[in-house]
Amino acid sequence: MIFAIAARDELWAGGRRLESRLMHGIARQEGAEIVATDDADDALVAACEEAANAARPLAQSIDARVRLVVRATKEGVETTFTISIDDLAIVSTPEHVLDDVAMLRAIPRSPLAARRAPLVWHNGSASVLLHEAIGHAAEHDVTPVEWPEWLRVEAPLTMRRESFSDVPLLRMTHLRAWQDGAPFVLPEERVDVHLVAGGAYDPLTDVVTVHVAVPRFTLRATRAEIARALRGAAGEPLRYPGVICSREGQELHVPGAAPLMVTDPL
Amino acid sequence: MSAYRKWGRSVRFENGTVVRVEEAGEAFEDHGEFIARPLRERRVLPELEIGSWQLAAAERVVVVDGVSLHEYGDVSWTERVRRVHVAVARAPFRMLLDEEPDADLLALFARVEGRRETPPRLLLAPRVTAAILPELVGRVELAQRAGETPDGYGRAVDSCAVAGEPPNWWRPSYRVRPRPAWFNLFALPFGRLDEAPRAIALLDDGDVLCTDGNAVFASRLSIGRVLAAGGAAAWYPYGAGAWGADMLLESGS
Repeated sequence: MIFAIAARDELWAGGRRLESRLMHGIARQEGAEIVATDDADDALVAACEEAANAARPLAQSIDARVRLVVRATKEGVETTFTISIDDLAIVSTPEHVLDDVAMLRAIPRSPLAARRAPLVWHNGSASVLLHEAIGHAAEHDVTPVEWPEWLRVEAPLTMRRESFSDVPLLRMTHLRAWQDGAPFVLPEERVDVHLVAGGAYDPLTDVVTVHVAVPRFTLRATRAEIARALRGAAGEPLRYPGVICSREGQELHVPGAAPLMVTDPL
Repeated sequence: MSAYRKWGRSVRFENGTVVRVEEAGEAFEDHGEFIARPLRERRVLPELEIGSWQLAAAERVVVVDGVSLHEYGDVSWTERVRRVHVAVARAPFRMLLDEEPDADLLALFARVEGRRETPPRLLLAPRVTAAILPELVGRVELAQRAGETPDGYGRAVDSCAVAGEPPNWWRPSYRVRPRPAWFNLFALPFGRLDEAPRAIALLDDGDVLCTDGNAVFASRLSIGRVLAAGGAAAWYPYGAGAWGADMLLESGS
């Protein structure tokens, strides 16, 4: 089995490039052994550089801290932007980045959540909760829990790796959630979740942790508690501006989408 | 400014897979921009071998042996490294080790009874102290110990007190912009290491594995006043290196 990659990773701030890294390599796997070298697949390097050249004007135009990553593999070329403004961040793609930056600037900066109220997950942010509770749990092949009948989730798994020198792991490619006839009542007293900073799932304890960025709080609950807390949802799946997912130190982009969703306090 | 160049070879055992890596790269600054790229050039490096690792209850076993040649300006140097990272699980606890696991320690972890309030005083084992040393800068007297390997700019790492800005620069990889760092950090011995419950290993999520008499339990590590420190006992690969020592501290609020 052969895996080849070329990647460009740049850091921009206020329209100026601060850091630029080129990486390429080829890994050959036989059984339980991988031989990895930083040899170049010139076609992938060219595809990576072409995409990076196309993405740079966007990165330069955004008045924020921007990490531009372009990855070219045999499966295709992926370009992501991680945009940080103040202490908030999103992950986006070339076709959505300007809209997502506008959304990031418009998000109300509320300091702390008044907890113990139902949570309303806006902007597709419920996809992060489900990414941790359903997607990562599936990666670890843990005992299933019962989710509401109105919830449908697609989170395909495949062997993925960040770099030529990494061991491939069973990882999500994306997560998309739909509601089908879900109940929905917008609670009068509620916490509106606009942006999520990150999350984790621990297969040892079955605990999901989600760090909500706006408003700022952290929730920890088991999968069963989360499944019981799902009250309802409305509308079509909304694309969430990005998740950079880290497992065993390997960072990969995992797009997510979910409808507007309501959960009990978690 | 000169370019930094590195040629490296490593062999890594990672949870049952052996990964052999050979790569070379360079990094330099151009008008304030940090640039890193592969060199597309090989140097002769020693062959490396690694065995297979089996460890009961281990969630994660990563063992790396590496050899590298470094060059910055007229200075060149070689480096051999060995790193071990083990995570051992006993639900709901997970012990994290950055050294070859010790059978006695594994046996103690297998007896962990549950969680207790953090004792008012804890005597930290060197493997725990080494991990928290960077947090103690400015709170106890620390020093940098001279090392055989130069820093990221090929400059000698000399012994000195930790005060002001570090004199040396650390490159965790050629792809990472170097930053000032204290190398081989250690606490200057002081005070008396009185008896107290012992924190013998790191658990995840900021906890430590503790023993008190025959009891083995998990507690939150909460760093208060440092009451005493013993002599540096063992080196750990935290940051640019840290020497662990026995350390007595009060738990913080």
